[in-house]
Amino acid sequence: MRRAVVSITRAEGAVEEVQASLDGLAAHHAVPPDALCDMQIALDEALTNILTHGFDDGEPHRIDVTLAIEPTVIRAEIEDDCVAFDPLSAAAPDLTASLKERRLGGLGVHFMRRLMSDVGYERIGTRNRLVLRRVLNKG
Amino acid sequence: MEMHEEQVGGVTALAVKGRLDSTTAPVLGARLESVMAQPGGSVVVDFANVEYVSSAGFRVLLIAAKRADESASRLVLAGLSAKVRHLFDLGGFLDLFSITASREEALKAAS
Repeated sequence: MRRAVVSITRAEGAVEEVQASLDGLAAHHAVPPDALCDMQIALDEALTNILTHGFDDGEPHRIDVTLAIEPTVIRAEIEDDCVAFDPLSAAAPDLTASLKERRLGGLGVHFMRRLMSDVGYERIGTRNRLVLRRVLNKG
Repeated sequence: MEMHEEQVGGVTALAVKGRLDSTTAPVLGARLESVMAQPGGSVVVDFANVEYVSSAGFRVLLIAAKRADESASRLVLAGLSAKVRHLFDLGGFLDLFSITASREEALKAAS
């Protein structure tokens, strides 16, 4: 099994379910801990964003997450039917601000971008599609 | 995530094990808040067994650090692994927190 698919229709327990699915896949294919760690963080950030900003309109929603271990990369595709949101357009946080001035927003997308080898976003009709890729062994 | 708590002198030492992420961070956040709500309530968080920290984890740590900065409480972090230290660096947090190599140094710094 090189692929796992998880569908999410409610926020409760959703991140844990995807996490467990990725852990299972990673153990089965001996994914290096560093790559697994980075992908777990990126998924936490991506899913938290969708569940926080996309699931709060009282309408039913669905997120489809496909996880895949390829020969040199680990890949996650996240598709949802929520309001259009391009994480790549989010402003970068000011990482040099003092403790008093330091804001909490924007950090999740920053981590996602820095930890992944690449991140792609497309709006297809009424769906958001986010693709996260992390090379298995960084040189 | 598992959390173990101990009182050392007047300092609360929290040892966190596992992943500090959107699921688990609220548990640490609630504990930090209640300890630091006590006058002079200082905390050491031992990261030696933390696998990773996501933005949700940094959020609760940042809230606690801001609170310490505005009060007589202290928050000292200890035992960051190379991976966790790299995440602090990526987030621009190395200079915002009091960080020591060992739990013992952290307990000294917090008391």
